[in-house]
Amino acid sequence: MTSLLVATAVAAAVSAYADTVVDVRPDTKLWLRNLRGTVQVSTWGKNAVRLQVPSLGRVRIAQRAGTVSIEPEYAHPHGMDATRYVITVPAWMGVAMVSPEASARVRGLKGDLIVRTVNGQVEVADNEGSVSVSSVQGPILVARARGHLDLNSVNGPITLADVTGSVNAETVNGSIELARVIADSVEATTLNGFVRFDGHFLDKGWYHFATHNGDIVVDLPKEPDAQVWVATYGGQFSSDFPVSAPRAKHGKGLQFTLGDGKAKLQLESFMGRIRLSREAGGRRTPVFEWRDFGQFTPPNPPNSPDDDHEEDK
Amino acid sequence: MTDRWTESLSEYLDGELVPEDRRELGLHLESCADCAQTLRELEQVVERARALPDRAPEHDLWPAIEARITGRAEAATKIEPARIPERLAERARPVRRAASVVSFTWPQLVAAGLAVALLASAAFWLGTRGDGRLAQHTPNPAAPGTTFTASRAQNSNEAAIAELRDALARGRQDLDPQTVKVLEQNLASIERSIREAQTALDADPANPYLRRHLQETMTSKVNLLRQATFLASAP
Amino acid sequence: MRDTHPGVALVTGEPEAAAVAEPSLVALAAAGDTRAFERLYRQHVGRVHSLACRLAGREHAEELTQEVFIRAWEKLWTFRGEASFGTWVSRVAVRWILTWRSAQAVQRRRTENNEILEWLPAKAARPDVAMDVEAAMEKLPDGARQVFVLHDVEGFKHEEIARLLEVSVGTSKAQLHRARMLLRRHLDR
Repeated sequence: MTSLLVATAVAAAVSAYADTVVDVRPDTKLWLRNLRGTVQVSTWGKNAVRLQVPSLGRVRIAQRAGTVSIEPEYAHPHGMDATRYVITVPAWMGVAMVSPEASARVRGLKGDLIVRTVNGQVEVADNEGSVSVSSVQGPILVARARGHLDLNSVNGPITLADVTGSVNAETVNGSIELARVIADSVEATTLNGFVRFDGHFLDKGWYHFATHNGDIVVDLPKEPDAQVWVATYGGQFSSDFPVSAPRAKHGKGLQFTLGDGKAKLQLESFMGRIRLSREAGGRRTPVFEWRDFGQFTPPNPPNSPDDDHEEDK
Repeated sequence: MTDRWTESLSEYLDGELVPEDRRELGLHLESCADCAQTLRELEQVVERARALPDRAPEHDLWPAIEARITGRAEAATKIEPARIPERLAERARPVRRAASVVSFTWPQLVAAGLAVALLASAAFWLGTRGDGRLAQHTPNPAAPGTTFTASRAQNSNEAAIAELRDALARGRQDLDPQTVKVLEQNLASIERSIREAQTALDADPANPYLRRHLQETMTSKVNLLRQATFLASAP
Repeated sequence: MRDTHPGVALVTGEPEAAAVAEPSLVALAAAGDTRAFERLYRQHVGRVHSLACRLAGREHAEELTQEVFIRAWEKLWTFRGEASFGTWVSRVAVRWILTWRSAQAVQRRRTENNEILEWLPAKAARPDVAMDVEAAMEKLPDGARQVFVLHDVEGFKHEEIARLLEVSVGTSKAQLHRARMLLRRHLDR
């Protein structure tokens, strides 16, 4: 018989205000499933996971080989009021959160992070592992991170600031703003939103921005060093930098070189305006402030609780 | 020997008898050696069944599975390195002088005889990036100089969009209405964009940027929406 | 070092065999990550293939296993995580295999009675007991074998088996008992 993740299961049902600590072995991963509300994850030096839940609702913590999972005790997701989960984990821990109705705020994680949400907003700061986020409505904000970022949102804007590593950001309807990014590869594509990039171009770096309808603005440093390819169908291209007569070879792109051309910059927009701007560093960029939850406030008056809790089958 | 006791032995073993029957059979077993023996044998059968090892298939089935789920006839994930252009574009004159704003509108450039194309540069990049990232997208079948049919990308996009429509319709009662609205709006938006790109390509079929735009951008947006729909459908 | 599929970078630096938490793999696979799905495939292909062998015979087991995983990929978005992925994919497998069988309209030459096992020569106790059970299972009548595989080998409950096989719970229990009684006589030898 295939061995499934069968091991000793430690399950604790947590109700009312609770503060629970579970010791974990190195390499354990945290799995947050189907939570509603806001999930805050921060780190500490212990090899343990701490869960603080300030309001009503039953939550189960289970530990099986290699994983600690936190999920509602009842399978029916609407059986729980939205609440705040304050979770403290070892910095090395990998965290996966698949909670369509939850927002996430994660700070200081060195392990890898996966977040999948539908309506929630996602904020990540001071991260060192790779980050993979997918949301439908919610905005995604990442600040002060290093590592590879893979961020997808259908409707929400994606905002990055002070990020080092590599970036793949994609939306359908949202904007993508990248500020003070030091990355060897950046890919930012959207259909209807705009893309704005202000960052370093590393030697041999690759930077690809593509939209359908939205504008693309790239803030270049004073002395940029990039080979640039531009393509648009019905849009416009403008540059604060002198561009020598673009190569008029039929079949080749509009391409030109700035400086020594060490990085590669590819800009494409079907209908939008593409602009190379000289304003690097001078523009204020939105950066979100991290605020801890601090004292727990009394729980919101609950809605009349659902009586049709389904038992977990 | 079959009797009413024997027939119940499996249920007894599995704990499925009601308490009175269970007690009765338990008492019977204390005095009936045959039944007790049979019970032991049944236990052994069950134990051996539970201990049966798995038999992996002789062949690795993954390549064929992968090919089917990614919709490609061959499970190729490597993009052939395209020819690197012989010469890169000549350098612009050094820009370290006072900037002057340069602005073109596209009709001007087209009028000047420029075709909008990125194919050569894309091929250059595909050849030199080396980290395989673009393998995630539908592979670009158009190497420089080959004739291109947009139909493959279009067909798979159409199929994916139809499937998404279907999933949204099916999931309508389970999904949050606001979420459905957002997904449907975005689906419509993608379809509109695809139509615009297709119209443009029909008018200018040799345009490599448009081909790529249709193929890569649209396909990847459809995929994004598909992932989001799947996620939204799971509780 | 950056992986080309960042989500799977959960195992950065760890050898292939290291356990990425299954729920993370499922989440990634449900979001379209084929590499995560491949890991799930590797973890569960043995179980699915065995099920195919035991329910439908070796000849078609590989082809069926392939189809099962493709169905699983397509249905992954419906997996709600209330059972383990292995159990879920087994259910997908059972439904698919049984559907396939009825579509095949396999002509079974054997009659559905107990006589088959009576013809087997008495065997001395063999060290490789597992083979006995497998071989004996193949000779069971269809209904009994299916229930036995699902209940005793795979661990399904009668209620679920009854639904999958479209029989009553009573029939399922009776078939199970029958299978066990036949097999025990065989193992005895």
